[in-house]
Amino acid sequence: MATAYAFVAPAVVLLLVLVGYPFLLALYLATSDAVIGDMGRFVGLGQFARLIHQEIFQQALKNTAIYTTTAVVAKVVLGMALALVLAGLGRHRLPGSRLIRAAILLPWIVPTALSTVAWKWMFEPQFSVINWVLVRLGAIAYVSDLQWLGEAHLARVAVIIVNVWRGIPFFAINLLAGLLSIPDELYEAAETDGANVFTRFWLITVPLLRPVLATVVLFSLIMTISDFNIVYVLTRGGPINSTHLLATLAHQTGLITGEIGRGAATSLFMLPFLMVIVFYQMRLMRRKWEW
Amino acid sequence: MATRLTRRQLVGTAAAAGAAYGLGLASRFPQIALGQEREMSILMFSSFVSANDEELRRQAAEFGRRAGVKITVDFVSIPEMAAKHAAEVSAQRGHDIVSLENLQTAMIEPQLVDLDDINDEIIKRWGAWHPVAKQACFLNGRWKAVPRMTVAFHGTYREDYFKQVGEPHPASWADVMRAAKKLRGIDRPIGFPISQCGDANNTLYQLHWSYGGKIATPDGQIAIESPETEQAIAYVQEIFPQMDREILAWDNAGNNRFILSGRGSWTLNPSSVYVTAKRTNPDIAVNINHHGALLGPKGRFGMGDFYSFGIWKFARNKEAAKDFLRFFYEEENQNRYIETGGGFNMPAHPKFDRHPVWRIDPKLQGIIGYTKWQKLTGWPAPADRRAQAAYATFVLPNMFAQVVTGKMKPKEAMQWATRQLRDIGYK
Repeated sequence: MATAYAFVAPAVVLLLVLVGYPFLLALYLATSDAVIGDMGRFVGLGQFARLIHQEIFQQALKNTAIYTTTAVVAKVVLGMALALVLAGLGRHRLPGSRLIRAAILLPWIVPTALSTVAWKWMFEPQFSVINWVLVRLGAIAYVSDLQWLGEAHLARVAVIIVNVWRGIPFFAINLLAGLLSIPDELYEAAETDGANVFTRFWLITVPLLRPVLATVVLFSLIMTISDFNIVYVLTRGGPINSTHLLATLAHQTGLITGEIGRGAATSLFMLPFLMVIVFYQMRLMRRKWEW
Repeated sequence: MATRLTRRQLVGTAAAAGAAYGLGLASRFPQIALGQEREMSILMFSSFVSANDEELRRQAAEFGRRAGVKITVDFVSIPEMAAKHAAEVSAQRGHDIVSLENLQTAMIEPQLVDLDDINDEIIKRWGAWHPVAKQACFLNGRWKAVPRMTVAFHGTYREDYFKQVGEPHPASWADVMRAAKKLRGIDRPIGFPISQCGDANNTLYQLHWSYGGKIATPDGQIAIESPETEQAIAYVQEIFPQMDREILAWDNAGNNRFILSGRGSWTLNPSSVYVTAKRTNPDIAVNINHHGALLGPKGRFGMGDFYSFGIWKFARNKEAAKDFLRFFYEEENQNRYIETGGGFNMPAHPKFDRHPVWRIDPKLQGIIGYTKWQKLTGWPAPADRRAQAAYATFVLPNMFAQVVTGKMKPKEAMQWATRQLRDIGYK
């Protein structure tokens, strides 16, 4: 028994030091009026109470909700579609299917800041390849007609597009693994019983993929809700704060303005909601799945 | 061969060292007299002009050799610096000398040692700093940093395009408006960002001031709702259609790209556009010229990013750090530092406005002495965390953006800005 504890101890110590301490420190900071250079005093939930009255915070909260919901739903739908295509390619042993599988991981592998800079150039009206193509297709008259990062609604769409582009491979590869683990016999039996493609998808694929789906959605929710790089590189929260997320606002408040306490409160604001989501997702994942 | 020091020799050496110290011969480099090798480090912003960084390294190495101090200079990019400050303050460890931008001195003031002695020496030697230097570094009656230089937001314009439409070297905001309308006619628009970037702040603050506007009073009372602000908004509303709409999305490099593309005819920016053009596109460089702070109805105001040096209270080698700053501010070293900056970094002290670097190239003569017009962000409100928050949350650019995008009427936008400033902590 002692040996077992000894083996586990380094991992526990690492967790306490690298996860436990920063988390507790963040909790303290969020309940203090600390600024850089002064740990401040305990103010309870005072920072949170002040935050909810701030217009910029209300907007960042709304933006985060829209960003997370839209991006995760899009990634589920498009990731599933891509996984089904890849599964089909694999099933028919088409040449190059392994290479395609590796290639689709690229958006997820390339450092976010780097790929977002490339997107920034694509959205920049003066040199935008997107607008250039749209002009050639006759969808818009001039390259300057679509100000992707200059108009609030388009900027929101732009940051979501980049997040979805980056996140699809994560969904696709995980769902593909789930798809390949479903026994072919189930589909063959359903086909014999006269089930069409949609029925087979709805009654076999979706229920059996649920554990994988629950896991990837959980991870994606956590990653998307705390996203920082894409907005920071593309828009810095603009125009007129229309793309600010809680993470970018927390950075702005905590580091640029030096109000570490309020910055920590901004980033921890979603913690209770996330904990509820994690609780239900974990329950879903713990259920025994048999087929 | 080991050398034994006799008691008489030891006493003699100590007495000589003490006398040298007392006479001030070693006061600049006490390490030499004491024969100790110490370590010191500097945390520095990377300059747009890399030769400036190399010169700082050279001076640090030179100082290190003379003072017997092992000295390192670490460069980080501007956006990284706030996080570095936070980490070093939190750990109460790190570098000895720290580079500071704009209001960072005020924000971490309690962590910085007083530098009255060095500043008094410089002022005694050369006279007073430019007013913006005092605004940034002299806090609560103490010098908390030594001013270094500023990256000034003066005018950059295409002389050939201006001549083409019969417009002279711009000297006022009215000149810019008149030229903008004509330049739109030949599809060579002017441009400045009305977006969430530092350049937008640096442009719009000086425009706002030149119309008599201010975000708050010296005692922190919100003052943005005013006829003066309304006039500044009216100016921006009038000039906005003369610019490309993409200015609403520009980052700090947007106006650089705009002029370097050959399309843009005017913007406010440091001379980085010209420096880059000289290297990459001489045809554009030859037609670029610069002008100083623009006159508005209520005066001439400038803005930029102001940089200074501080020393942490937790620095391990404060005296060596102070000695390095004294060494850096020797006239010869300042001259070489400014020279390697190629005219991009403007001096914090008026003495160096006369440096030949701004006279050799006729394109830079229009910006000589720009620093004297410069104010720090938030002015005349106090240099504090609230002014930094107003800058970081882009209250002023967003107020103008609300109007030019048609989301709000001028009065509504001023009320919106008032709410933002109240959230920040102004009264």
